Amino acid sequence: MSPTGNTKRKTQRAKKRPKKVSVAISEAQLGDLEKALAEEGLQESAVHEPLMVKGLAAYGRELVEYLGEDRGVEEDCVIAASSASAQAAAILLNTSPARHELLSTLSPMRRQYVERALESVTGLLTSAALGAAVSNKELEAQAQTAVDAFRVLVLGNASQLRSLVDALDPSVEDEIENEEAEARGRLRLQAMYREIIAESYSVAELSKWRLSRQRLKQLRDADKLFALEVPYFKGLLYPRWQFEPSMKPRQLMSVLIQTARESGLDAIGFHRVMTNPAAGGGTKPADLLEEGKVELVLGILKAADR
Amino acid sequence: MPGRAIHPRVPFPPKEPPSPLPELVEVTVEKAWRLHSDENPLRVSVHPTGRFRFDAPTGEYAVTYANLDQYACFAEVYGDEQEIPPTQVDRRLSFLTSARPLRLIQLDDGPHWSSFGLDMSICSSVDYARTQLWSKRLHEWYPDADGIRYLGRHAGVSQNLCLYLDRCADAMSAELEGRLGELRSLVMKAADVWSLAPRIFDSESPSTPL
Repeated sequence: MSPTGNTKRKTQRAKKRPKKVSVAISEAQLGDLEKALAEEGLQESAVHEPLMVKGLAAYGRELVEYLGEDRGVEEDCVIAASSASAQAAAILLNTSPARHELLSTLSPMRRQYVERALESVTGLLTSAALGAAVSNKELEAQAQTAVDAFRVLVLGNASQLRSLVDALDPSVEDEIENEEAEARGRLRLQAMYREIIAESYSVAELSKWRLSRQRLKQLRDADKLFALEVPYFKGLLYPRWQFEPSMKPRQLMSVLIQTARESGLDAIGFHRVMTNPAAGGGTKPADLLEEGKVELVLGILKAADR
Repeated sequence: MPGRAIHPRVPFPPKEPPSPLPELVEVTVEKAWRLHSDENPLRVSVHPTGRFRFDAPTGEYAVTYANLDQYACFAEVYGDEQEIPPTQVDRRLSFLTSARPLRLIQLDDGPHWSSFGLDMSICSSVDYARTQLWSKRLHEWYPDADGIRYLGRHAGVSQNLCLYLDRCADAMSAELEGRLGELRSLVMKAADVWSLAPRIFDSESPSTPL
């Protein structure tokens, strides 16, 4: 791959981008980027071509916007940012060549999702590298955090996801940006859905105890059980707490369901109240039932106010 | 049982008030936030058997609740589920204002809890039957009181107000901020601060009725 040829190709890509600012990225700056990429061992041939293009597009866009704001950026800073960004891209893109091969086998639609995510993450990291005096080491840590967070988000269990959400919690005093609030909101939703799945039986699991689909419907119709649905899980889920150890529905289920219904709770809301220690003054209301505190639990459900 | 939380019980209120009776605090309310389903957040609704923390136990008087912090009222309403469900899209957020200083019973600090023989469980207990008995006693002991100022069970130091509407409804006015479905930015920020999952805006989420 000749440097000259590469530079030309990047310039052509830069021209295809929508013009957001009047200052164009220079050949010299693209050369810096090229050099930094090479120093990081990030060869275009080693990564999936569309991913590389997207990553560079994100980088270029950030760089052009930054320079367009006339911040008096010195050349050293651009070189440092290029290096840091390349390092981030290396971590994101170059972890395992085998994975990039796998990516090429994905359907265009699915590959598009992966590429979009990559573009966003790379763009954010690049922005971080440009917007503040972040050392290479710090940026490497940030990039690794992004990778770890993404891994937990996609592959983590409920408690790992909860830890991630907790770690990302802002302090009350901080001014919250809309985008950040939206992003953390999505994380919380994912965490909640995963928790619900982990805390419930599927219909297939219940069939092992001779609870057929038809029998479950009868129990639901009689208010002896309730079921809920969450996105990304096909079928109904039955929260575990409503079953006795013998796998029969708790005797109190009818009155609990009716009380929750009168308060306006839906199925997820009902389950969340019953399994949240904070709702029971430190003990899950479902566990308070085992202590015989039925009136207390009914009072908690009545106070739900929906 | 190891690991099981201990539930501090709120004591029954005594028949006689403490002597001396702690003084009321006067507060002119500029904005106290309320999430409500009724069109009018000051509509007098009496629960004949009591439902919330300082309701009259058997509907002797009407109360309403608000929080001095715009986001904290979300914590108080949705904290038990730790999520805001899609059913809340039409719920309204309003703020209440008082035309005169309100005289409030202080249940928001240690010295005042002590003077009544209480502790912070009066603000955090979920034994509402017991806390409602205290509301009734306080209502009797303080004929001039317009309500109670107390700590939030979820919102902590963000102060809640329970207003005795039989005494201060004529001094209160309300202004609608909007319906939650129209206040996405505000709702998302409140959810962010109080760790609530914003299912209200998740178009993928089914709202399975009970």
